[in-house]
Amino acid sequence: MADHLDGSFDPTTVDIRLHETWGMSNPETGASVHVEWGLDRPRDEDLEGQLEAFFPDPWRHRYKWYRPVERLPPGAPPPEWRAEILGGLRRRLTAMGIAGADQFVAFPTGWVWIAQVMAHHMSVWTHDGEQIRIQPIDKELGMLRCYAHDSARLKRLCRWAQCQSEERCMATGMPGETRVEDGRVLTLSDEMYDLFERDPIALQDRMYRA
Amino acid sequence: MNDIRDRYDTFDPATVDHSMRWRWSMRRDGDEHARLDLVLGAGEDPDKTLEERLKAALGAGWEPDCRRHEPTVRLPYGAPSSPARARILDELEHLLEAAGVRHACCVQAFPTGWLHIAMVLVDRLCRWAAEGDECTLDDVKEKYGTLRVHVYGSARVQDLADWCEEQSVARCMATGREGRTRDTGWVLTLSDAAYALHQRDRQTVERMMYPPREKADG
Repeated sequence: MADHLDGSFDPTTVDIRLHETWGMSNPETGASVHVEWGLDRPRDEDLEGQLEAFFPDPWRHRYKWYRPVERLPPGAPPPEWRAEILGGLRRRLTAMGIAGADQFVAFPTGWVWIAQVMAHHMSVWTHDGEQIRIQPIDKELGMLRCYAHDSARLKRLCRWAQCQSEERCMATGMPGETRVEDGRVLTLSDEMYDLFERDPIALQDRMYRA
Repeated sequence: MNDIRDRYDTFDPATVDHSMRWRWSMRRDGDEHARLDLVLGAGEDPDKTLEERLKAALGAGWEPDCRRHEPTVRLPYGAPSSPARARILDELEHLLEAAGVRHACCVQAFPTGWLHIAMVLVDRLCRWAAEGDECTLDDVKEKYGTLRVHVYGSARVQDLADWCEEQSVARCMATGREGRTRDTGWVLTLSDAAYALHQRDRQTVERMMYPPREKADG
């Protein structure tokens, strides 16, 4: 990869640990209970069941989810760098023998830093002897969906990537919200949502410039 | 309050939610990232029975961390400009006096970065005084980088004082932006930018927080 594409973002320093979380809320009062089980600790399903019993109806909206220990800083490379960065990742991973590396073309510009972090760890783990197979990487309901086999740490890396894509603008990497328009669900900053309403083709180009 | 709002900035204290809610937390010993937070709805009282059940379920290794009465909604960051502080505070004091709130002069202690808090305080005290609540401002001061508001009055007046104190936490005393406490020899809550400026030019930041009043003509 050309030096100028590295920018100021260093994927090797990013913390990819996750908290496993559980919670419920009461929509009538706005009350909530939220548990974080600790750094990279597995959830305690039995205990979650006990806790749930303490919060009967109208408590609902139970969730079991994950939260990154650190949010990626906001930002992204310029749109014109996207294709070259992702192409570089694809070539590097393919050369290492990782199957399905061509799936990296699915990342929009705003999520390229997530792709760089994933590629970094996949490279390191392949070097350690792990055999990695990437299954489809896609966007669904404004969030990243990615699957890679076949180790627990790879699954956690995919979860980490999915969590980081939440509320991250697909065009700019700035804080964003899920927007539903004409059957499309996109995560966009206010600025990019304005662009979407004025010129959807221009937004598409910002997200997926070839 | 409308003339204050229109003249100095777009902040409208009448629209601010001043409700409070209880947060009760536990954490696992030795792991700062393992925690449970129970946040009640606005106005709900702590449920000791539920807390005991949660404690028992989590078991050994978990311990109570804190119980906090906190604002339901965080006041947006921001503040009027420093030169407007004196006029705003004079007008707030006048409003309190007109409403019959005793020791109205205490409001003069608010630094610039916390003026939006002062505006909410005055808006509610004036309204509640008109409704018949007894409202006395005993003391307002900054201590260890956060606000202290001592009041005498009804339960909602006491809650309002708590609300003001909690809103000052992590709010820059000079600019009203997000900040944290800094030990400058005097503990102050400052934003990164205000703190950097304070290290270069302490007096300027002091003047931003508490600008000296212009001397009257003649």
